[in-house]
Amino acid sequence: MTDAKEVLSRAFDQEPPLRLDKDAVISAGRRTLKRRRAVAVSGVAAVVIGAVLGVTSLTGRGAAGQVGPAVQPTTVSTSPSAAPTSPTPTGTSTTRRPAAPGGVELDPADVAALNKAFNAGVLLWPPGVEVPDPEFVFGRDGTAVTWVDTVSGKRAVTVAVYRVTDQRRPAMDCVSAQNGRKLPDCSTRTLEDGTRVRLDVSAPPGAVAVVSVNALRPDGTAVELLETAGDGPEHRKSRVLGDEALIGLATQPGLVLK
Amino acid sequence: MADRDTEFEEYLESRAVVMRRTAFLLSAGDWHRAEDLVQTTLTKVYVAWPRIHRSGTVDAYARKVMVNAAIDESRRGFRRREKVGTVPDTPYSSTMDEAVDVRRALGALPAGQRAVVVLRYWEDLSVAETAQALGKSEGTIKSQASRGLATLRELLGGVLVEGRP
Repeated sequence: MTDAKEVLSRAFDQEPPLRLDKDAVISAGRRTLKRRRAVAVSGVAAVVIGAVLGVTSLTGRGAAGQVGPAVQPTTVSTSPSAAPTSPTPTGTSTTRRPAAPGGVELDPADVAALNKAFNAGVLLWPPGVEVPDPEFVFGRDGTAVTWVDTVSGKRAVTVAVYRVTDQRRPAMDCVSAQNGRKLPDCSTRTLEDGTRVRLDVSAPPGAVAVVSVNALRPDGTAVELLETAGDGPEHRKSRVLGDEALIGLATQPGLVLK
Repeated sequence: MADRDTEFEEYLESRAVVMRRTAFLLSAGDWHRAEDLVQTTLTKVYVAWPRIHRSGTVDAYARKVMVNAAIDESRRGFRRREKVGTVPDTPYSSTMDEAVDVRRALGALPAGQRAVVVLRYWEDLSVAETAQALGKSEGTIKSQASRGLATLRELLGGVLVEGRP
């Protein structure tokens, strides 16, 4: 009797050399991870924004400093001239997708331009920070996300790019869309090229810090950037990127949509 | 990520050849399909690496992924469309004849049954381990192993095959 294993081994005649592409395997794995993280961070951002806005709408922004500044909901229908004293609760429903450009898909050439612009320069990450997926990979919806690993947990950086329309534009004023009060940790500036920038920081004690940067370019391109995290123990509550790093990211040179 | 890559690369380099042999048997003797199977498997292993490495289940996970991928592929009929001749363009020898015979015999087995035979008799898994890898009952594994061996005996003629019960 011949052992089954020995018989099976006879099938290996003329075994060719292994041609497995190790780099291709790792690249494919990274792409899968990136897709999963993008899905996950969408949920994280939605929860964070939803929670912050929900609390803010109940208590009033900046009141006694108890509530951190909400990420100014860019999807709230507030033009820069919109009356801040009349917050629109309807805006909170659409802010559950803070990084979505209103469902308008970009041209593939625009997506390619975004990927090129956002990955052309090297972002100076702080010491002790590891970025597993250093590249921003934009989808047709004009959004991208990357995770930042630190010794004290993960943070997520999401980016949304879109063309400003009458229906959708970034919030550029430092007033709460919920109660019209001035946001305590919000500032605006205008860059040399005419790009207007708004930076808003929400870092209430013990809660997840949320930092948002909105950039409105002279050509009508809007960039919304959000640094945030989830609530789990693997996430880091405090922010990891400084103001200038985030603003630099949101005002990438060479970003031109068709 | 750097640690993950380093650990994974070490695993890949130490296991790829062995995995390809198992994949070769699962794909009934097609080296091209075997490499594709290994690539698919290793990609999934990479994605799950922190979890499976921590729990010490990398090989079990890889085996399960590979078997499922082979069976899925068989269901899609991929091999029937893409099968590439694997007989080398060199003079035949008796060894080569045997190899072709074994591959054909394996190819005659249904994909699920072939997976049982490969895991039981090539990977040396127990009935329980094979059942766990394939998500089937131990009784099913025993009966499929028995039928698979019977088919191989019949197709391989003079080559007698025996296996553990």
